[in-house]
Amino acid sequence: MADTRDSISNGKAILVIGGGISGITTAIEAAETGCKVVLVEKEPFLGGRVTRLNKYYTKLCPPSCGLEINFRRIKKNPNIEYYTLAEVESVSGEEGNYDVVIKVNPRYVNENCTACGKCSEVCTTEISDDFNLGMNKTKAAFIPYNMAFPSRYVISPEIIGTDEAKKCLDACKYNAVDLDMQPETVNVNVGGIVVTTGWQPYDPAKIDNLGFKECENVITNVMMERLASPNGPTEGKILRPSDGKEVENIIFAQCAGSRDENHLPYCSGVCCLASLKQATYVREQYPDSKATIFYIDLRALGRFEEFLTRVESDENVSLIKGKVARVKEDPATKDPVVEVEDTLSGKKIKAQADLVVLATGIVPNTLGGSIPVDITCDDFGFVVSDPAKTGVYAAGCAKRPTGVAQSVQDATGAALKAIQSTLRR
Amino acid sequence: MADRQLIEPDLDFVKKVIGFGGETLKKCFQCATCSVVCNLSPDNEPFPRKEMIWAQWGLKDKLLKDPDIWLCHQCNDCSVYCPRGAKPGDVLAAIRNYSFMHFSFPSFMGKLLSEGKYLPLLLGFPIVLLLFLLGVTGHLNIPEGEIVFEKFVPHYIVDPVFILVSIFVAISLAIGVTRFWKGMSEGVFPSASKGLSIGDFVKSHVIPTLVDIVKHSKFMDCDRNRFRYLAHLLIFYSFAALAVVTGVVFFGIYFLGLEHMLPLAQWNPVKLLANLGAIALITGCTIVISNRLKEDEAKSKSTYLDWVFIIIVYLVAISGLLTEIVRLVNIPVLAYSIYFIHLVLVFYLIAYLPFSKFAHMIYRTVALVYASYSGREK
Repeated sequence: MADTRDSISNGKAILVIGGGISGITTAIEAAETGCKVVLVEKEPFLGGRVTRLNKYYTKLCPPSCGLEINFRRIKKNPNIEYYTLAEVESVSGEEGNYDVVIKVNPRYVNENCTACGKCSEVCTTEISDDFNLGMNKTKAAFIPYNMAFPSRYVISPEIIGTDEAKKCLDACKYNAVDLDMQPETVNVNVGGIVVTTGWQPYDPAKIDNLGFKECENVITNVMMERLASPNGPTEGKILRPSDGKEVENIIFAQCAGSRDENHLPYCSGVCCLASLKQATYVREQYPDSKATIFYIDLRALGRFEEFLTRVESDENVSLIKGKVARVKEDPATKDPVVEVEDTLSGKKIKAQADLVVLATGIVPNTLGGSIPVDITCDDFGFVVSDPAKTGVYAAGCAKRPTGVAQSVQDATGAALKAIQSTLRR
Repeated sequence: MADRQLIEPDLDFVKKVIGFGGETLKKCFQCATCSVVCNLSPDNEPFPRKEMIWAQWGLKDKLLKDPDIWLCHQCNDCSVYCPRGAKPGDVLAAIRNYSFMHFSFPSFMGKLLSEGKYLPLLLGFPIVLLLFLLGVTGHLNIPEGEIVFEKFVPHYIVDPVFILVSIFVAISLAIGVTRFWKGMSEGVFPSASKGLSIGDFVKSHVIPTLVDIVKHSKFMDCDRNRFRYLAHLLIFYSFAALAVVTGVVFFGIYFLGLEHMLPLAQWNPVKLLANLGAIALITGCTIVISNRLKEDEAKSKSTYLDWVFIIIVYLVAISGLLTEIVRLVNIPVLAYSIYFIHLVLVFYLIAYLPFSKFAHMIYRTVALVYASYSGREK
């Protein structure tokens, strides 16, 4: 039987759906004005996709410091009530008065957890590591990543009811493992809702000419971030999947799915800068390496142009105008070979590399109406502001493909709109 | 600034290409996916990306002198992978249509063939001509007795008509092809192997090209839609078979004095070949038409020129076969009427060859020979 309880924040509160960078920003900004906030996140930790980044463009600093500050602001603010492993089940009502039902899935680990890791030590079952996009395995009793907030282990439902789970229970000295945990239902009443459900990378397997399925050493830009991260599957060494060789020659294929009517008709907005960033950190990490970026157009708007100029000035980075339209694997070396027409010289190029990174684009999680909130979306699933639907707002990648800095600004704006819906007299 | 180039856009050309089925050409954003996914495109200056920008810019002169538009066999791999729905396959087809109409002689015929409103005129001409000839020779009636088509339309009426038509077609094509070859020689890909004797030219460029055509090897290189290969092969060989049949009968009548050799017996090898050709032609056309009807319009859309050509070919085949069947079941009025329709359609096919899609047979062959001669081929 599912437990049902009412939220402490019953009354005039804001609901934020999605605990990525936009969601935590909205929650904190609103909470720091004195408003109550309920933050719902489906993963077992807050921070979303940003936690999986190695570095931000264009400063090339890691996201950890910013996240740490935000987590601290959440921790010390009693106005924020957050739920991880949770999803909004239903929303009814109108601006100023929404009844929301939240389903919280069991973590099988309670607040007593000190993150000592004993449960994980005794656990032998391994599961795909979602945090590293399935690039490696992790124990079935795991902490999503070393800096996860809340800093608490998770026991995968896969081992519940087995001896493995009992081993975890016995290993825990703090009575933190609770194998009888059941899904909980939480009812809250809120005045305004902010949808910050973010995005997911476009499925590269759908782009059948770019060899993601066929070639071992073809990865995506989001996988690249994990490969390069110190807390990633290779501890920050950029090693190619087939043989663990350090990457010396890397190719970036821009618009892998984006600006393509067969896939995502829109520009994903961040992939050019992401590839410029990745080329920069590969070059810094391996000074003898070479990087080539094949593009249709390089989109580095506003002050980002300076960053583009900086990358261009590196003679070991080549920027070639022409879209990669075919990737095949050299069977002997497992090197991917890309085919492109260099449109400025009018010659077809067949370029071999250690690793090919597909700059896959942004798909909003709101695509396909998976969130039980009355929102209006465009043809691609991005939320559009609808004057007839006041009380529900969106921010960040739920609204448009965008980077971290702009998402944060957007989230601050959305916080104000939601506060107005909640406290307006 | 020696390589500075003055661009002279021909806006009327752009409009014409759009009118011939290239309406998507302005969607192209020059990513060059098309040049890569095309298995027929050479490594140096591949097509069709460059043709797309030339077409957008109205560079008619470059395109008319470009053999590459004919290297394309329109499998539409490019249009399937095009991220913009710019349909390079259809655009190249439109440029090809513009091209052969531009080179053809007399040029007003191209206009008549490319617009549906002139179709009654084009079909009406052979109808009136045949009726007139039959009338003045006193043959405007259904002959009595066994069905023998020669009793209705004697050789001395129909043959001179088709001989004159063939001479006209040959002259027209010779003029068109000469202009076309001259254009290509002055174009972006000037020929590299000048000073070749005619014998060597034929041996190293014409014969290998013809062998490729006979084998349909280019079609095999296209990834997509293997049915097109089969369909084109069937149509190609049925035309070859029917040409042989026509040749043998012509030879029999005029050189062996077998004036009354027709109709041939059903077991006669020549008759068997004719029947086989007709069935292959109908099968090929059926595949082409059903593929076109199934085609996703977002990837390729057939134009009036495409449809009118395949339908005429289809009707020629069907009316030919029907003529034979109705003759065998002995319904004179129907047999002679269908035979008349068949003659009119054959007239359309042959007389208007240089100005219809049929001309691709000649221009593509010439372009492929040129591509081989200039070292352009992949």
